[in-house]
Amino acid sequence: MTPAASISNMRWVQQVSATEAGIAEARQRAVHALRWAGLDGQHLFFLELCLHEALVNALVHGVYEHGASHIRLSCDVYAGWVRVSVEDDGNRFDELSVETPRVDEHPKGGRGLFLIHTFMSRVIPLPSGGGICMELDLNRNVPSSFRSILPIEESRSGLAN
Amino acid sequence: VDLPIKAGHQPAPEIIMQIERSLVRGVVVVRIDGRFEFGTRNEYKRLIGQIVQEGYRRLVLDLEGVSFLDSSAIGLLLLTDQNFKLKKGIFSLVRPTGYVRQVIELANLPRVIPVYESLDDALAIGVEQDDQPAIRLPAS
Repeated sequence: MTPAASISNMRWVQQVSATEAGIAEARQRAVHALRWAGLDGQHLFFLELCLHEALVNALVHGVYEHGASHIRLSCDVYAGWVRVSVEDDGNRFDELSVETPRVDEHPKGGRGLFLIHTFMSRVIPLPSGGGICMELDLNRNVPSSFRSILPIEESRSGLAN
Repeated sequence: VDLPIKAGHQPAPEIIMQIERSLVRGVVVVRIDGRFEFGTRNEYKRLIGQIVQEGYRRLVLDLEGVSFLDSSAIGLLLLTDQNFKLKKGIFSLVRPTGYVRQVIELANLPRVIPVYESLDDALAIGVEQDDQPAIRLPAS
């Protein structure tokens, strides 16, 4: 685990080209910036995974399905926390209300959000609607709990809690 | 903060994905190195589709070299498993490591898809009949 005391504060914002190559490049640059701030190991891996999932969601559900043309990514590292926001200008539903799929289902979406909820300390809907803000407490190991393991049978749990 | 990127430093190039197939004791073994994710899904789908079309009923996916795996990959693994089960075949995973293993376990995949520690262990599991392709396509 990265010792939180050794992390530099930083703010990193970029406009993301709304293409597959664009989100890959944005993710790579953000990870580079987070590494520069001093993150490594499991914190860096799971931050990369979650910001990747958020960028893919923005591309697929924001751009492809709801006509968004812009994606914005920001990363803030401050006082032992990392906050990552991914916003798009598509007009879409409240994605935090998507149900967690069962492991043997083949839904159109939901697994990416499940991973975000599992590995991040806090997930906050953005007031603008299209996008997600997530925070990771660098003083804790991730995942902070195993409550979100994908259900395999009848029980289904909503992601918003 | 003036990040090194702004100062002209670029992130190091990353290995995107390398995927290759081989035949070991009559079983198709696919090894993936690098990133198994949304951006590389089509390479996986193309190769697995080809293997399914050739009629093989056993597939072992070697994940030892996978450094990153996302929800798209999890979905593809579940679809591959479903496809092989429909043909009464066997799909299994071998040697996921590190954080990739953690993601697989948190997603409950081992409850659905067998995960083995070694290729030998995976190859030791039989199918109902023989290991040969159920359908043989003419060589092109």
